[in-house]
Formats: sequence, structure tokens, C-alpha cells
Amino acid sequence: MRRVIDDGFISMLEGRDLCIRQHLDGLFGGNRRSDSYGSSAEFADYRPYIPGDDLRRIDWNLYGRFDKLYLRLFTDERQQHHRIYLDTSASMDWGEPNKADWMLKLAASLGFLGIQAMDRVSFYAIRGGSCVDLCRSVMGREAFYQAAETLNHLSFYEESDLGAAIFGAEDIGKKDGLSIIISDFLTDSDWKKAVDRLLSVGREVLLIQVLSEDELDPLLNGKVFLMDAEAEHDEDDRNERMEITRDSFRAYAKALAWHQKELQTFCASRNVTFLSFCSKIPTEKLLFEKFAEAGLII
Amino acid sequence: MKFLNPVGLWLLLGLPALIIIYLIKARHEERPVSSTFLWKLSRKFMKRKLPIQRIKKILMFVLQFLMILALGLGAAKPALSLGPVTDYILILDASASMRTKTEEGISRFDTALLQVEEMVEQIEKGHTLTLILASDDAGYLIEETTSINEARLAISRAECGYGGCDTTDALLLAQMVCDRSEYAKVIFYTDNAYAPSDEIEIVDLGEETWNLTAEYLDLSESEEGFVFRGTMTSYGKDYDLAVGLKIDGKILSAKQIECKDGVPSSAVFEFTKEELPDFEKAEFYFDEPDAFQEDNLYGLCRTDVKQYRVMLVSPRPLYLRSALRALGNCEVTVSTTTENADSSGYDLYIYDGEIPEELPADGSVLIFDGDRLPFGLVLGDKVGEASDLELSKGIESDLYEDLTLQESSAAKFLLKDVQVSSYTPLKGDADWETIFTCDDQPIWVRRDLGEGRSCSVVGFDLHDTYLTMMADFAVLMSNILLDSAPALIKDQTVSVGDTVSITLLAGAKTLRMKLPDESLRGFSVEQEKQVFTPKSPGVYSLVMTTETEGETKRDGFFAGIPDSETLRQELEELHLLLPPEHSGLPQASSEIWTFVAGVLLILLLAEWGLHCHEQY
Repeated sequence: MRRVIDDGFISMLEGRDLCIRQHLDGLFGGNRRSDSYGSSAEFADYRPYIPGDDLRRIDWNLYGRFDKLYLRLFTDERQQHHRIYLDTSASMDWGEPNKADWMLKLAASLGFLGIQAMDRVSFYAIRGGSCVDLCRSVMGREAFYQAAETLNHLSFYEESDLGAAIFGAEDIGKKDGLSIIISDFLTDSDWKKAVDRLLSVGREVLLIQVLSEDELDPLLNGKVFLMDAEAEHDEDDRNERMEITRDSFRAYAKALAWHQKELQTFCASRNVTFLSFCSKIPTEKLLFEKFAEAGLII
Repeated sequence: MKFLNPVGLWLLLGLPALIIIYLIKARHEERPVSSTFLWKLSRKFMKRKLPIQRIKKILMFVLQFLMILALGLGAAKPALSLGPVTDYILILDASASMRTKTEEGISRFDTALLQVEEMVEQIEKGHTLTLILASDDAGYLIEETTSINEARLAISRAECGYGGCDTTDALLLAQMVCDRSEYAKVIFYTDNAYAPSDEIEIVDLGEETWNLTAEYLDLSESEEGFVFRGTMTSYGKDYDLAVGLKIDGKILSAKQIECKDGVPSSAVFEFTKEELPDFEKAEFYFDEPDAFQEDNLYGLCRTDVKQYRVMLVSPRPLYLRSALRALGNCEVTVSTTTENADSSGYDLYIYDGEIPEELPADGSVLIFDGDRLPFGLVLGDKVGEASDLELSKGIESDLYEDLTLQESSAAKFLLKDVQVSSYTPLKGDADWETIFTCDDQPIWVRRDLGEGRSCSVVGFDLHDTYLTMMADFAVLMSNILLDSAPALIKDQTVSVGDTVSITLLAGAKTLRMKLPDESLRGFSVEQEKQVFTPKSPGVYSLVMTTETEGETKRDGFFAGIPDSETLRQELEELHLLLPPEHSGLPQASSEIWTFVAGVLLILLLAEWGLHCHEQY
């Protein structure tokens, strides 16, 4: 049985926080500053008094100096709801180090960072064309550990249709947090549709692609019958007969680069953050170096 | 196409092996991957292949296939008749068995001639034709001709003989043409079952047929009369046949004989002296429709029985007298001293121990352990140690031939087992021919005195060897008698094609031979020996008159079909023993295949290198 996160790693994550780029809405009582003015203790701005305003917020010192009534405004703090979508197709349970382990550890880490910031975190499994709730609205450490236990038992099989699953999901939230999709994106599914759907409801979206080492640099030769991990039988269309030559490798490298470029171009056009990693990179290095460099973790 | 080294064709087994390897190799190895998404996407980025590159996949296979094919053909040395001119050398078996006829009455020889005539058409294509007729001797009928008319004329002259087939000489003649030829093809038309040969194409015209053969005719003469015993065999089936006996060309008797397949049967004909007072020749025959009828006759010629007169001078004549008398055709006169011995009127004078002052003027002389030697012969130092008696190597006399025959046919008479305990080596001039040696020193020498006379000297005493104790000592003495007073004809039975030696006796005036067709042939009496080769089967009678008024000597022989012609022979492979370049087929073609194989190997290695480079 896998163990996605342990106390040692959690202690490393303490003191870190997710960096949310845009001010989002959310439930009251959180720890994230909102674009709107609220009732927190943190001063934000002044504005002229309008009849009907709360007289307790009039800054009488300014009235003494300018002989006009000004109202003191304070920052509004909201609780965010981060949603992490996990690709649980068979192709994710692959590679050495295993992509699924790598993905679950990253997901748990990001979830813990959200929970540590008093946010709520939901984990979803993309299974076929649907979005399956794994742990919804996890808050507090106790609930996180239960969620981590759920992730430990997560299984990977069949295929996943990111576009259909997220597009058809009933609750994808609103402008109240970060939506993280972790997948290898080695699919014909229309994942762009999913991203657009999330953006349409004001979500901040982060796409993380994980590829194993043999996907980046395959070790094949000669005449091979490539059996797709998601194929149901030998005659499945996803299986492919090929004669691997030097030219094949060149074409594969170009296809990989083209695919990643496609992801990057799309994400850039939507102001969506896209990151691609090899499962060989340790999660510690990923979070504390790569994510920090990308400004996702502070 | 012909392969000079057919074993090389085994290499072609590599072709099916190669196909099997490729069929196995064609299977794709199952390799699980996380997703084929990128691999399918990569197809869009593959280089567009030129049409010629589409066959690249099978190029390696094609090259390997062609290379194995070329290597196989190169090793097998295929030889195509591509040369500008091929010399066709046709050897025609003209032995008696080629006269064997089919039910339609066509002989094997005629069949062979028809096939040879078809080959004449090759001349029109610019090739040359040589025709060798191989009967009891071999010769060219036509040699390397390019003229159709000349070739057809030669074929029309071809006649089948009654003797054997001189294959050795025929091949020598063929080889002489091959040596001059660039490309030659040798075809042998024969009815014998030769093993297949690489150099010679055998056209086998023979088959198992029914054949009756007269194998022997024996004559016993007594005071009551004559008894003829004819032996015949039916090969191929049981048969009841009628046999007859002709005396001097007239049928005197006939009988019905039951013959079992392959088992000799006999027919006996008896005549009293009244019925048959005298005759010249007898022929035992049958007239049956078997395939080969030329051997349906066997004959004999009545000859004068030679009675030899021998003067034996010896103090201890026991052994020699007994041996001579045992021969049955000797009249032996014994004397213990030379003084009492006659010195004329004998065919052979044997002196044991001492010799007279003057040798007799007639007859031959045989001297054992003489104290004095004639014609300059010198005695060496006496050797007292036992030594093996050995026939001299390289002697050519008839005596030697007979002794050799006896040695090979009578296993008990092995000269190497005969020792001489004491002997005196003999030394003479070149006219003395050495017959026997001890320790490579001549101890039995012979000198020709002319007119059928000879002088032989033996350098040991017969008591010093157990040669006389051996059964074949009588044979030796018989040969000595023959040598001392030879008959006109030595063998009364010969095969057609054999050389018959006729020895003219002293005082010969005329010598005539009556041939089987009743024609006469005369011989010169100038030379002491005459040779004659019978060309057809039958009885040949000789009559020699002498200077003595009214005295004639009769002799004769029967020339029969050689035994080898009676039945189909299973013979070994024939070889021309020619260097490869004269094997009758061009070598260039095999070299081409080797060259092609080399080029293909280079191409294959280049393709292999590219293939390895293409593979990651």
C-alpha cells in the first residue's frame, strides 16, 4: 500500500503557503484577502461617508483635519475552496518512479498547503467521463489525514476523459479558489473544454503534467506491438504495431514537443499556469524549487 | 544446365531457412506502454517515404535471398552451354550386345544411330561433332567435323561389332578432343548400366531381355567315337529349345532341351567312328527368337593332338619323368648319361646335372644345374642359403604369362612360398631372358633359338627345392613343353576381338585360314609369328603345310561372343580425368555467380550498416 504523505514531509510543508494570483471570492472566515472590503482588522482604504453607512467606521480624526466625513474601510478575508482533479487512468499507474505515486504525493502536499491556510480542499478522481468525489471540502488536519488515507487506497484503471468529466461535473466551484488538474495529458480527450469551463466560473486553474522517464525517452527497438495500458484487449485501436527506427524516435520527440507546446500555448492564451515534470523529480525539489520558482508556493 | 559440383546446391536450403527466419522475425514483439498517444501522434512527424523506400523493408531480405542463391549456384558451379562452340563428342558402343533387338526388330545400335543423327543438327548451330565407335577397339568415325554431310556419311558407315566395347580407348580418344576443345560435351550411347558420371552423359539403351546363350561345346574322343556336350543357358525365363549340332556345316543331330532360367543345361550328341569318321569343325547352335541371337552358336575346331617327344638325361630322373608322363602327351626317353642320349629327333632335351659337348640341332633344351653353360652363360658363386623363388619382373615370354595365370588361378601355387635351399646365379648377355630369380639374382634363364626352339637354363638342382612336390609343377612342365614346341594356335577358344597368335613351326611352307564364312585367308611364312584378330564369331580353321611332302598340320579356334556381352553389365562411373576447364562446360558461369555473391555480400553489409544506424 502506498503512503502519499508522512509527518516528516508535512513538517517540511509547514510555513509554506499557496500563492493565489487573483483575489477570489469565498466563504467568510478564511485567511485569504479578498478584493472586496470587509470587517477584518487590516486597514484597506478610506472613502467619503454616504448616508446610511455605519457611523462607527467614521474616522473622526480626519473629520477634525479636513472637516469632511470619511469612512475607514478594512480588508475582507475569505476562505478559499481548492479543488484537485486527479487523472486515475491506467496510464498514470506507470513508470519508475510511478507517476501515480508522484501525483498523489503532489496532490496531498498541495492540499495540505491549502488546509494549512485555513482553506478547504476537495479531491476528485477523473474516472472515465465522470468526476468522482474522493474527499470533499476537507478542512483541518484531522480531515486531511483522513483524505490522505483515501488517496492511499486510490486505484488506477481504465481511461479518463478530462473534458467530459470536468465539463459534466455538477460542482466545480466558483470564483473561490484554485482548480488543479494533474494528469499526463496523453489523451485524445478535449481537456481544453474542461479548462475553459473552469475559467468560465472564475476559477484559477493550474495544469500539472507528469510524465515518466520512459515516456520522455522511450527504450524500444525493432518491430514492436505497443500495448496501451488502457487498452481492453489485443485488438483495441489504442494498440499500435510499429517498427521503431531512428526516424521513429525523432518523430516521437517531435510529437512530444509539439504536444507540450500545444498545452503551453493554450494555457498561455488563457492565463493558466501549466507545468510539466518528470516523475523522476522528487516532490520536495518540485515543491520547494520548481513551484517556488514558478511563484506558486511562497 | 549442369552442375559441376551438385553438392553446392545444399546451400540453397538456406533459402527456405531464410524465409522461415523472416516469417519468425515478422512477428512484432509485444511491449506494454502507458499510452500509444504520442506514438500515434509521431506518425505525423515521420519523414515522408519515397516510393523506393517502401521496398527498403524487403531490400535486406531480397539481398540475403539473392546472396544465398548466388552462393549456392557459385558452389554448385553451374555450367551453361554458353560457349560459342561446343564440341559434341559422341561415343557409340558397338559391342555385340548392341545387336540385341527389340520386339519390333530394331537393334540397340540402330536406336543409338537414330539418336546420333539427331545430334547432327547441332552442327547447324555452329557446334562440332566427333563420333567415336567403340567396338573391341576404338576409333574415330569422324573427328571434330562441321560438315553435316560428312557426319551423316560417317554415321552410315558405322557398324556394330561382335566383340566387346573398348571403353578405355574410346575415352582416351574423347579426352584428346576435349584437350583441344574449349567447351566439350561427351555423350556415351551404350547398353551397359554405367553409374552416372559428372563428365559424361550416359544414354542407356539397354534393358533386361530374354537371352539364350550357347556357352560351351566339349568334345571327347575315344576309340568308339565322338561325344559332343553342348552347354546353354536361358536368361530371363524358362524355355524349351531345340538345339542342333552341325558338323562341317551339315546338321547331323537335333534335340529338344528344357532350360531353366539362369541354370546351365546340356545336350549330348554321340557319334560312332562309322557315323563320323573325321571332321574339321563342329557347331552347336539353336535358332530361337531371343533378343540377342549372335551368341546362339558355339563351335570347335578339331586339331591334331600334339605328342611331344622328350629326351631326359638325368642320373636321378624320378621327379622329371613322373611329371612329364603325368601330362599324358609326352613320350619320354630317359638316359642317365649324355653319352647314351640321342641328340636328334626330339622336341625337348632335358639335361639334369651335365650337358653334352654339343647341343642338339633340333628341339628345345632345358638344363638343370649344369656344370657347363652354353651361349656365353656364366655361373656365379654358389649360394647355400635358402631363398625364395620369384618370378622375374618384366619378362615378356609366353611362359611367364602362363605361369602368371596359373599363379592367380591356383591359390596353392604361390611362388613366394617356394624356396630354394641352394642355387647358383646365372649371368649372361641381353639375349638371355630371366624367368625366375632368387634374391634378385637370375637362376632360371631362357634364350630364343628361332624356329620355335629355345634353350632354358636352371641354376639349381630340383632336389634343392620342393617345387616339384607342388601340384602345379605339372602345369609348369606343360608350359615348358608348349614353349619348347609350340602349337600353331595356343588357345582353341577366344573371344571376338582378341588377338590370336599363330606360331609358325619349323619347315612351314604355306599357312591358310578358313574363316566362318568359308572364305580363305593366306598368311606369310616369312615371319615366325603371325597375329590375327577375329571380327566375327565362328570357327576359324588353320592348315599349315610343311616342306616335307604331304605333311600338313591342322589347328583352329572358335571365336565367340565375349561373356560380358551376354548379360547387361552394371559398371562403375566413367571418368575422363580431365582438368576442370576441360570438363566440357564453361567455368565462367560459376565464377560469375561467385562474383555476384561477393557484390551482393557487400550490398548486404552496406544495407546492414544502414539498418543498424536506423535502429536506435
